[in-house]
Amino acid sequence: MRRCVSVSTVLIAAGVGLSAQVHPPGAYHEGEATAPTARYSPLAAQGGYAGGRTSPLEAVVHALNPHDVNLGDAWERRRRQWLENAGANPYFWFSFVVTGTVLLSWFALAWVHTDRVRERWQLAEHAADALRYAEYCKRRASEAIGRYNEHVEKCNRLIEAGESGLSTPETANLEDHRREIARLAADNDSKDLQVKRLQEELERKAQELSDIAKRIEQAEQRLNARSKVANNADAQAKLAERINRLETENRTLTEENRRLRQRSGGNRAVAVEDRDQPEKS
Amino acid sequence: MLVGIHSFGSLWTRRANRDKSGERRGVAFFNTTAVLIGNTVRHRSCVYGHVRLNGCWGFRPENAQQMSNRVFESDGLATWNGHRKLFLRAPASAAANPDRYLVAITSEMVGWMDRRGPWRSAATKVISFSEANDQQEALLLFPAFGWVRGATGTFCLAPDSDNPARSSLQCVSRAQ
Repeated sequence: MRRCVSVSTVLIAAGVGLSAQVHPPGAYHEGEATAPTARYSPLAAQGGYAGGRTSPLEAVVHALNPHDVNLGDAWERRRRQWLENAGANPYFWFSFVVTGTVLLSWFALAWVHTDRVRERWQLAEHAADALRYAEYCKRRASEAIGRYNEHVEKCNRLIEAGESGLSTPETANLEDHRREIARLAADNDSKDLQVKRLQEELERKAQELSDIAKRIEQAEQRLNARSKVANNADAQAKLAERINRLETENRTLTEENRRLRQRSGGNRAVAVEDRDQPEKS
Repeated sequence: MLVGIHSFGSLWTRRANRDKSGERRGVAFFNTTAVLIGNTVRHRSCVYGHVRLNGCWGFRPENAQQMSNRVFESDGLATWNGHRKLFLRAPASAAANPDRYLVAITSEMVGWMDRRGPWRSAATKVISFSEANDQQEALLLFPAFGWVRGATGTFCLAPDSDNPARSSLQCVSRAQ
Protein backbone atom coordinates (compact mmCIF):
# COMPACT_ATOMS: atom_id res chain seq x y z
CA MET A 1 0.00 0.00 0.00
CA ARG A 2 2.79 2.36 0.98
CA ARG A 3 4.61 1.46 -2.19
CA CYS A 4 1.54 2.33 -4.26
CA VAL A 5 1.15 5.65 -2.44
CA SER A 6 4.80 6.56 -2.98
CA VAL A 7 4.71 5.56 -6.65
CA SER A 8 1.52 7.50 -7.23
CA THR A 9 3.03 10.54 -5.43
CA VAL A 10 6.10 10.40 -7.66
CA LEU A 11 3.94 10.04 -10.76
CA ILE A 12 1.73 12.99 -9.72
CA ALA A 13 4.82 15.11 -9.09
CA ALA A 14 6.25 14.09 -12.44
CA GLY A 15 2.96 14.84 -14.16
CA VAL A 16 2.78 18.28 -12.54
CA GLY A 17 6.35 18.91 -13.60
CA LEU A 18 5.78 17.86 -17.14
CA SER A 19 2.55 19.80 -17.40
CA ALA A 20 4.36 22.81 -16.10
CA GLN A 21 6.89 22.36 -18.87
CA VAL A 22 4.35 22.31 -21.68
CA HIS A 23 3.74 26.02 -21.94
CA PRO A 24 5.72 27.76 -19.26
CA PRO A 25 4.92 31.44 -19.59
CA GLY A 26 8.11 33.27 -18.88
CA ALA A 27 10.12 30.07 -18.43
CA TYR A 28 13.67 30.14 -17.24
CA HIS A 29 15.65 28.37 -20.02
CA GLU A 30 19.20 27.26 -20.00
CA GLY A 31 21.29 29.56 -22.06
CA GLU A 32 19.05 32.58 -21.63
CA ALA A 33 20.37 33.21 -18.20
CA THR A 34 23.70 31.82 -17.18
CA ALA A 35 24.87 31.31 -13.65
CA PRO A 36 26.59 34.55 -12.50
CA THR A 37 29.29 32.61 -10.65
CA ALA A 38 30.54 31.25 -13.98
CA ARG A 39 31.54 34.74 -15.05
CA TYR A 40 34.14 35.29 -12.43
CA SER A 41 34.89 31.80 -10.95
CA PRO A 42 37.11 29.63 -13.07
CA LEU A 43 36.30 26.66 -10.83
CA ALA A 44 32.69 27.26 -11.31
CA ALA A 45 33.27 27.74 -15.00
CA GLN A 46 34.86 24.32 -15.07
CA GLY A 47 31.87 22.81 -13.45
CA GLY A 48 32.75 23.25 -9.73
CA TYR A 49 34.31 20.55 -7.61
CA ALA A 50 32.43 17.92 -9.55
CA GLY A 51 34.44 18.81 -12.50
CA GLY A 52 31.57 18.76 -14.92
CA ARG A 53 30.40 15.33 -13.84
CA THR A 54 26.73 14.76 -13.07
CA SER A 55 25.68 13.13 -9.75
CA PRO A 56 22.86 10.56 -9.70
CA LEU A 57 20.58 12.98 -7.86
CA GLU A 58 21.15 15.62 -10.48
CA ALA A 59 20.49 13.01 -13.16
CA VAL A 60 17.18 12.16 -11.57
CA VAL A 61 16.25 15.79 -11.17
CA HIS A 62 17.29 16.44 -14.75
CA ALA A 63 15.22 13.46 -15.92
CA LEU A 64 12.19 14.79 -14.09
CA ASN A 65 12.78 18.38 -15.10
CA PRO A 66 14.76 18.32 -18.34
CA HIS A 67 14.20 22.04 -19.08
CA ASP A 68 15.09 23.16 -15.54
CA VAL A 69 11.75 24.84 -15.07
CA ASN A 70 11.39 26.76 -11.83
CA LEU A 71 8.46 24.86 -10.39
CA GLY A 72 8.25 26.88 -7.19
CA ASP A 73 7.93 30.06 -9.14
CA ALA A 74 5.25 28.53 -11.33
CA TRP A 75 3.40 27.23 -8.27
CA GLU A 76 3.59 30.62 -6.58
CA ARG A 77 2.36 32.32 -9.73
CA ARG A 78 -0.55 29.95 -10.12
CA ARG A 79 -1.40 30.28 -6.42
CA ARG A 80 -1.49 34.02 -6.67
CA GLN A 81 -3.68 33.84 -9.77
CA TRP A 82 -6.02 31.43 -7.99
CA LEU A 83 -6.19 33.58 -4.87
CA GLU A 84 -6.87 36.63 -6.95
CA ASN A 85 -9.61 34.80 -8.84
CA ALA A 86 -11.15 32.92 -5.92
CA GLY A 87 -10.63 35.17 -2.96
CA ALA A 88 -12.13 38.14 -4.65
CA ASN A 89 -14.98 36.14 -6.15
CA PRO A 90 -18.09 36.05 -3.89
CA TYR A 91 -19.61 33.22 -5.92
CA PHE A 92 -16.63 31.03 -5.05
CA TRP A 93 -17.09 31.60 -1.37
CA PHE A 94 -20.84 31.05 -1.73
CA SER A 95 -20.34 27.72 -3.50
CA PHE A 96 -17.63 26.81 -0.99
CA VAL A 97 -19.95 27.41 1.92
CA VAL A 98 -22.81 25.56 0.22
CA THR A 99 -20.60 22.60 -0.61
CA GLY A 100 -19.31 22.48 2.93
CA THR A 101 -22.85 22.67 4.27
CA VAL A 102 -23.96 19.85 1.98
CA LEU A 103 -21.07 17.64 3.04
CA LEU A 104 -21.70 18.36 6.68
CA SER A 105 -25.39 17.62 6.21
CA TRP A 106 -24.45 14.29 4.61
CA PHE A 107 -22.34 13.40 7.59
CA ALA A 108 -25.15 14.48 9.92
CA LEU A 109 -27.64 12.38 7.99
CA ALA A 110 -25.37 9.33 8.14
CA TRP A 111 -24.89 9.86 11.83
CA VAL A 112 -28.63 10.19 12.43
CA HIS A 113 -29.35 7.11 10.29
CA THR A 114 -26.79 5.04 12.20
CA ASP A 115 -28.31 6.19 15.46
CA ARG A 116 -31.76 5.25 14.26
CA VAL A 117 -30.64 1.81 13.17
CA ARG A 118 -28.93 1.23 16.50
CA GLU A 119 -32.03 2.41 18.33
CA ARG A 120 -34.20 0.07 16.28
CA TRP A 121 -32.00 -2.91 17.14
CA GLN A 122 -32.10 -1.96 20.79
CA LEU A 123 -35.86 -1.60 20.59
CA ALA A 124 -36.17 -5.04 18.97
CA GLU A 125 -34.05 -6.58 21.70
CA HIS A 126 -36.13 -4.91 24.38
CA ALA A 127 -39.33 -6.01 22.65
CA ALA A 128 -38.11 -9.62 22.45
CA ASP A 129 -37.20 -9.51 26.13
CA ALA A 130 -40.61 -8.10 26.94
CA LEU A 131 -42.39 -10.75 24.88
CA ARG A 132 -40.44 -13.53 26.54
CA TYR A 133 -41.15 -12.10 29.91
CA ALA A 134 -44.83 -11.72 29.05
CA GLU A 135 -44.97 -15.36 27.95
CA TYR A 136 -43.28 -16.43 31.16
CA CYS A 137 -45.71 -14.32 33.17
CA LYS A 138 -48.68 -15.78 31.33
CA ARG A 139 -47.48 -19.32 31.93
CA ARG A 140 -46.91 -18.68 35.59
CA ALA A 141 -50.26 -16.92 35.83
CA SER A 142 -52.06 -19.82 34.15
CA GLU A 143 -50.38 -22.25 36.54
CA ALA A 144 -51.39 -20.12 39.48
CA ILE A 145 -54.94 -19.79 38.13
CA GLY A 146 -55.09 -23.56 37.63
CA ARG A 147 -53.97 -24.16 41.19
CA TYR A 148 -56.45 -21.60 42.44
CA ASN A 149 -59.29 -23.15 40.41
CA GLU A 150 -58.42 -26.59 41.68
CA HIS A 151 -58.43 -25.32 45.20
CA VAL A 152 -61.74 -23.51 44.71
CA GLU A 153 -63.16 -26.63 43.09
CA LYS A 154 -62.22 -28.65 46.13
CA CYS A 155 -63.73 -26.01 48.38
CA ASN A 156 -66.92 -26.04 46.30
CA ARG A 157 -67.15 -29.80 46.48
CA LEU A 158 -66.75 -29.60 50.25
CA ILE A 159 -69.41 -26.89 50.48
CA GLU A 160 -71.78 -28.86 48.22
CA ALA A 161 -71.21 -31.95 50.31
CA GLY A 162 -72.08 -29.95 53.39
CA GLU A 163 -75.20 -28.49 51.79
CA SER A 164 -76.46 -31.77 50.36
CA GLY A 165 -77.59 -33.08 53.71
CA LEU A 166 -74.54 -35.15 54.32
CA SER A 167 -73.68 -33.09 57.33
CA THR A 168 -71.24 -35.42 58.98
CA PRO A 169 -68.03 -36.60 57.45
CA GLU A 170 -68.98 -40.17 58.28
CA THR A 171 -72.00 -40.15 55.98
CA ALA A 172 -69.97 -38.48 53.21
CA ASN A 173 -67.40 -41.23 53.56
CA LEU A 174 -70.21 -43.75 53.39
CA GLU A 175 -71.26 -42.32 50.04
CA ASP A 176 -67.69 -42.54 48.87
CA HIS A 177 -67.55 -46.11 50.04
CA ARG A 178 -70.76 -46.85 48.21
CA ARG A 179 -69.31 -45.45 45.00
CA GLU A 180 -66.15 -47.42 45.52
CA ILE A 181 -68.20 -50.55 46.12
CA ALA A 182 -70.18 -49.92 42.94
CA ARG A 183 -66.97 -49.43 40.99
CA LEU A 184 -65.43 -52.55 42.46
CA ALA A 185 -68.60 -54.51 41.74
CA ALA A 186 -68.51 -53.42 38.11
CA ASP A 187 -64.81 -54.27 37.97
CA ASN A 188 -65.60 -57.63 39.49
CA ASP A 189 -68.33 -58.28 36.95
CA SER A 190 -65.97 -57.39 34.17
CA LYS A 191 -63.29 -59.64 35.60
CA ASP A 192 -65.88 -62.44 35.98
CA LEU A 193 -66.74 -62.08 32.31
CA GLN A 194 -63.06 -62.09 31.43
CA VAL A 195 -62.44 -65.17 33.56
CA LYS A 196 -65.44 -66.88 32.02
CA ARG A 197 -64.14 -66.09 28.56
CA LEU A 198 -60.70 -67.31 29.45
CA GLN A 199 -62.12 -70.51 30.94
CA GLU A 200 -64.13 -71.13 27.80
CA GLU A 201 -61.04 -70.52 25.74
CA LEU A 202 -59.03 -72.79 28.01
CA GLU A 203 -61.62 -75.56 27.71
CA ARG A 204 -61.70 -75.16 23.98
CA LYS A 205 -57.95 -75.32 23.79
CA ALA A 206 -57.88 -78.34 26.11
CA GLN A 207 -60.40 -80.03 23.85
CA GLU A 208 -58.31 -79.18 20.83
CA LEU A 209 -55.25 -80.49 22.64
CA SER A 210 -56.94 -83.79 23.48
CA ASP A 211 -58.12 -84.11 19.89
CA ILE A 212 -54.61 -83.49 18.69
CA ALA A 213 -53.25 -86.02 21.21
CA LYS A 214 -55.75 -88.61 19.96
CA ARG A 215 -54.81 -87.92 16.41
CA ILE A 216 -51.14 -88.21 17.28
CA GLU A 217 -51.80 -91.50 19.03
CA GLN A 218 -53.70 -92.82 16.04
CA ALA A 219 -50.96 -91.68 13.76
CA GLU A 220 -48.38 -93.41 15.95
CA GLN A 221 -50.42 -96.63 15.90
CA ARG A 222 -50.69 -96.43 12.17
CA LEU A 223 -46.98 -95.88 11.89
CA ASN A 224 -46.25 -98.81 14.21
CA ALA A 225 -48.51 -101.09 12.17
CA ARG A 226 -46.76 -100.05 9.02
CA SER A 227 -43.37 -100.65 10.61
CA LYS A 228 -44.49 -104.14 11.78
CA VAL A 229 -45.55 -105.06 8.29
CA ALA A 230 -42.32 -103.70 7.02
CA ASN A 231 -40.43 -105.72 9.66
CA ASN A 232 -42.23 -108.99 8.64
CA ALA A 233 -41.35 -108.52 5.03
CA ASP A 234 -37.80 -107.84 6.01
CA ALA A 235 -37.65 -111.02 8.13
CA GLN A 236 -39.05 -113.09 5.29
CA ALA A 237 -36.49 -111.68 2.95
CA LYS A 238 -33.78 -112.43 5.43
CA LEU A 239 -35.09 -115.98 5.86
CA ALA A 240 -35.20 -116.54 2.14
CA GLU A 241 -31.73 -115.20 1.83
CA ARG A 242 -30.57 -117.49 4.64
CA ILE A 243 -32.25 -120.46 3.01
CA ASN A 244 -30.56 -119.62 -0.23
CA ARG A 245 -27.27 -119.24 1.51
CA LEU A 246 -27.72 -122.55 3.35
CA GLU A 247 -28.75 -124.29 0.16
CA THR A 248 -25.66 -122.91 -1.54
CA GLU A 249 -23.49 -124.05 1.35
CA ASN A 250 -25.17 -127.47 1.31
CA ARG A 251 -24.56 -127.76 -2.38
CA THR A 252 -20.93 -126.77 -1.89
CA LEU A 253 -20.48 -129.26 0.92
CA THR A 254 -22.06 -132.00 -1.13
CA GLU A 255 -19.67 -131.23 -3.94
CA GLU A 256 -16.72 -131.31 -1.57
CA ASN A 257 -17.88 -134.59 -0.03
CA ARG A 258 -18.21 -136.12 -3.43
CA ARG A 259 -14.79 -134.88 -4.36
CA LEU A 260 -13.35 -136.13 -1.10
CA ARG A 261 -14.94 -139.54 -1.65
CA GLN A 262 -13.56 -139.69 -5.10
CA ARG A 263 -10.14 -138.71 -3.79
CA SER A 264 -10.33 -141.22 -0.94
CA GLY A 265 -11.28 -143.95 -3.49
CA GLY A 266 -8.18 -143.15 -5.58
CA ASN A 267 -5.90 -143.20 -2.51
CA ARG A 268 -7.19 -146.56 -1.47
CA ALA A 269 -6.41 -147.93 -4.94
CA VAL A 270 -2.89 -146.44 -4.72
CA ALA A 271 -2.42 -148.00 -1.26
CA VAL A 272 -3.46 -151.35 -2.61
CA GLU A 273 -0.94 -150.99 -5.38
CA ASP A 274 1.80 -149.97 -2.90
CA ARG A 275 0.97 -152.89 -0.69
CA ASP A 276 1.29 -155.12 -3.70
CA GLN A 277 4.67 -153.83 -4.81
CA PRO A 278 6.84 -154.90 -1.74
CA GLU A 279 5.42 -158.29 -2.07
CA LYS A 280 6.64 -158.26 -5.64
CA SER A 281 10.07 -157.00 -4.53
CA MET B 1 -51.31 -48.23 19.03
CA LEU B 2 -54.01 -50.23 17.29
CA VAL B 3 -57.66 -49.19 17.70
CA GLY B 4 -60.53 -51.47 16.84
CA ILE B 5 -63.71 -49.75 15.70
CA HIS B 6 -66.95 -50.77 17.33
CA SER B 7 -68.98 -47.67 16.42
CA PHE B 8 -68.68 -43.96 15.70
CA GLY B 9 -70.43 -40.92 17.15
CA SER B 10 -73.42 -39.24 15.57
CA LEU B 11 -71.86 -36.08 14.21
CA TRP B 12 -69.51 -35.93 11.24
CA THR B 13 -67.81 -32.80 9.98
CA ARG B 14 -65.37 -32.41 7.14
CA ARG B 15 -62.58 -29.99 6.45
CA ALA B 16 -60.63 -29.49 3.26
CA ASN B 17 -56.93 -29.18 3.86
CA ARG B 18 -55.31 -26.46 1.83
CA ASP B 19 -51.68 -25.53 1.53
CA LYS B 20 -50.29 -21.98 1.61
CA SER B 21 -51.02 -21.38 -2.04
CA GLY B 22 -54.66 -22.26 -1.48
CA GLU B 23 -54.62 -25.50 -3.41
CA ARG B 24 -56.66 -28.34 -2.02
CA ARG B 25 -54.56 -31.18 -0.61
CA GLY B 26 -57.15 -33.53 0.83
CA VAL B 27 -60.15 -33.91 3.06
CA ALA B 28 -60.24 -34.75 6.76
CA PHE B 29 -63.33 -36.05 8.54
CA PHE B 30 -64.01 -35.42 12.22
CA ASN B 31 -66.35 -37.50 14.29
CA THR B 32 -67.76 -36.50 17.65
CA THR B 33 -70.80 -37.01 19.82
CA ALA B 34 -74.09 -35.21 19.46
CA VAL B 35 -77.69 -35.37 20.59
CA LEU B 36 -80.92 -34.70 18.76
CA ILE B 37 -82.25 -31.20 19.43
CA GLY B 38 -85.52 -30.80 17.58
CA ASN B 39 -84.76 -32.12 14.15
CA THR B 40 -81.11 -31.26 14.23
CA VAL B 41 -78.19 -33.17 15.58
CA ARG B 42 -76.14 -30.81 17.72
CA HIS B 43 -73.14 -31.42 19.87
CA ARG B 44 -73.96 -30.32 23.38
CA SER B 45 -70.58 -31.29 24.63
CA CYS B 46 -69.73 -31.60 28.28
CA VAL B 47 -66.37 -32.96 27.22
CA TYR B 48 -65.34 -32.09 23.69
CA GLY B 49 -63.06 -34.22 21.59
CA HIS B 50 -63.02 -35.73 18.16
CA VAL B 51 -61.82 -38.63 16.10
CA ARG B 52 -60.05 -37.68 12.90
CA LEU B 53 -59.91 -39.78 9.75
CA ASN B 54 -58.28 -38.71 6.52
CA GLY B 55 -60.15 -39.16 3.28
CA CYS B 56 -57.01 -39.95 1.30
CA TRP B 57 -57.47 -43.70 1.66
CA GLY B 58 -61.07 -43.64 0.54
CA PHE B 59 -63.00 -43.14 3.74
CA ARG B 60 -66.42 -41.50 3.51
CA PRO B 61 -68.75 -40.85 6.47
CA GLU B 62 -71.63 -42.36 4.50
CA ASN B 63 -69.82 -45.69 4.66
CA ALA B 64 -68.73 -45.37 8.27
CA GLN B 65 -70.65 -48.48 9.27
CA GLN B 66 -68.38 -50.50 6.99
CA MET B 67 -65.47 -49.50 9.19
CA SER B 68 -66.92 -51.43 12.12
CA ASN B 69 -64.85 -54.36 13.31
CA ARG B 70 -61.80 -52.99 11.53
CA VAL B 71 -58.49 -52.06 13.11
CA PHE B 72 -56.72 -48.73 12.61
CA GLU B 73 -53.27 -47.46 13.37
CA SER B 74 -53.31 -44.51 15.73
CA ASP B 75 -51.03 -42.34 17.85
CA GLY B 76 -53.31 -42.69 20.83
CA LEU B 77 -55.49 -40.16 22.57
CA ALA B 78 -53.82 -36.74 22.61
CA THR B 79 -54.77 -33.25 23.65
CA TRP B 80 -54.61 -30.50 21.03
CA ASN B 81 -55.73 -26.92 21.70
CA GLY B 82 -57.39 -28.14 24.87
CA HIS B 83 -59.48 -30.73 22.98
CA ARG B 84 -59.07 -34.47 23.01
CA LYS B 85 -58.09 -35.87 19.68
CA LEU B 86 -57.76 -39.40 18.37
CA PHE B 87 -56.19 -39.56 14.92
CA LEU B 88 -56.85 -42.80 13.06
CA ARG B 89 -54.04 -42.81 10.51
CA ALA B 90 -54.75 -45.76 8.28
CA PRO B 91 -56.38 -49.21 8.41
CA ALA B 92 -54.18 -51.92 9.83
CA SER B 93 -54.09 -55.59 9.02
CA ALA B 94 -57.28 -57.47 9.66
CA ALA B 95 -55.41 -60.03 11.76
CA ALA B 96 -54.03 -57.35 14.09
CA ASN B 97 -54.95 -57.51 17.75
CA PRO B 98 -56.28 -54.10 18.84
CA ASP B 99 -55.05 -52.43 22.02
CA ARG B 100 -58.14 -50.27 22.43
CA TYR B 101 -61.69 -50.17 21.06
CA LEU B 102 -63.57 -47.08 19.92
CA VAL B 103 -67.18 -47.28 21.11
CA ALA B 104 -70.01 -44.77 20.92
CA ILE B 105 -72.53 -45.30 23.70
CA THR B 106 -75.89 -43.61 23.99
CA SER B 107 -78.24 -43.38 26.90
CA GLU B 108 -80.70 -45.48 24.89
CA MET B 109 -78.27 -48.39 25.02
CA VAL B 110 -77.16 -48.38 28.65
CA GLY B 111 -79.53 -45.94 30.31
CA TRP B 112 -78.65 -42.67 31.93
CA MET B 113 -74.98 -42.44 32.81
CA ASP B 114 -74.38 -40.63 36.07
CA ARG B 115 -71.04 -38.96 35.54
CA ARG B 116 -70.71 -38.04 39.20
CA GLY B 117 -70.47 -41.68 40.15
CA PRO B 118 -68.38 -44.57 38.87
CA TRP B 119 -69.82 -44.82 35.37
CA ARG B 120 -66.81 -46.29 33.54
CA SER B 121 -63.77 -48.36 34.29
CA ALA B 122 -60.58 -46.54 35.19
CA ALA B 123 -58.77 -47.62 32.03
CA THR B 124 -61.58 -46.37 29.77
CA LYS B 125 -60.82 -42.95 28.27
CA VAL B 126 -63.47 -40.40 27.34
CA ILE B 127 -63.02 -38.75 23.96
CA SER B 128 -66.27 -36.82 23.86
CA PHE B 129 -69.45 -36.63 25.91
CA SER B 130 -72.65 -34.86 24.91
CA GLU B 131 -75.65 -34.37 27.12
CA ALA B 132 -78.90 -32.50 26.49
CA ASN B 133 -82.66 -33.07 26.36
CA ASP B 134 -82.38 -36.18 28.55
CA GLN B 135 -80.11 -37.72 25.98
CA GLN B 136 -76.52 -38.68 26.29
CA GLU B 137 -73.89 -39.90 23.94
CA ALA B 138 -70.33 -40.77 24.81
CA LEU B 139 -67.40 -41.65 22.60
CA LEU B 140 -65.16 -43.89 24.64
CA LEU B 141 -61.85 -45.64 24.15
CA PHE B 142 -62.20 -48.99 25.84
CA PRO B 143 -59.56 -51.53 26.73
CA ALA B 144 -60.57 -55.15 26.35
CA PHE B 145 -63.13 -56.00 29.04
CA GLY B 146 -63.60 -52.37 30.03
CA TRP B 147 -67.01 -51.50 31.36
CA VAL B 148 -69.52 -48.68 31.42
CA ARG B 149 -72.34 -48.32 33.85
CA GLY B 150 -75.73 -46.86 33.08
CA ALA B 151 -79.12 -46.84 34.67
CA THR B 152 -79.99 -50.22 33.14
CA GLY B 153 -76.85 -51.99 34.29
CA THR B 154 -73.19 -52.55 33.72
CA PHE B 155 -72.02 -53.30 30.22
CA CYS B 156 -68.69 -54.83 29.43
CA LEU B 157 -66.88 -54.70 26.11
CA ALA B 158 -65.87 -58.23 25.25
CA PRO B 159 -63.72 -58.91 22.22
CA ASP B 160 -64.52 -61.91 20.12
CA SER B 161 -62.19 -64.77 20.91
CA ASP B 162 -61.94 -65.89 17.28
CA ASN B 163 -61.64 -62.42 15.75
CA PRO B 164 -60.16 -59.87 18.20
CA ALA B 165 -61.10 -56.97 15.92
CA ARG B 166 -64.76 -57.78 16.50
CA SER B 167 -66.15 -56.72 19.87
CA SER B 168 -69.52 -56.49 21.52
CA LEU B 169 -71.06 -54.85 24.55
CA GLN B 170 -72.41 -57.42 26.97
CA CYS B 171 -74.55 -56.70 29.98
CA VAL B 172 -72.81 -58.22 32.98
CA SER B 173 -75.19 -57.02 35.66
CA ARG B 174 -78.64 -55.52 35.63
CA ALA B 175 -79.50 -52.61 37.88
CA GLN B 176 -81.89 -53.50 40.67
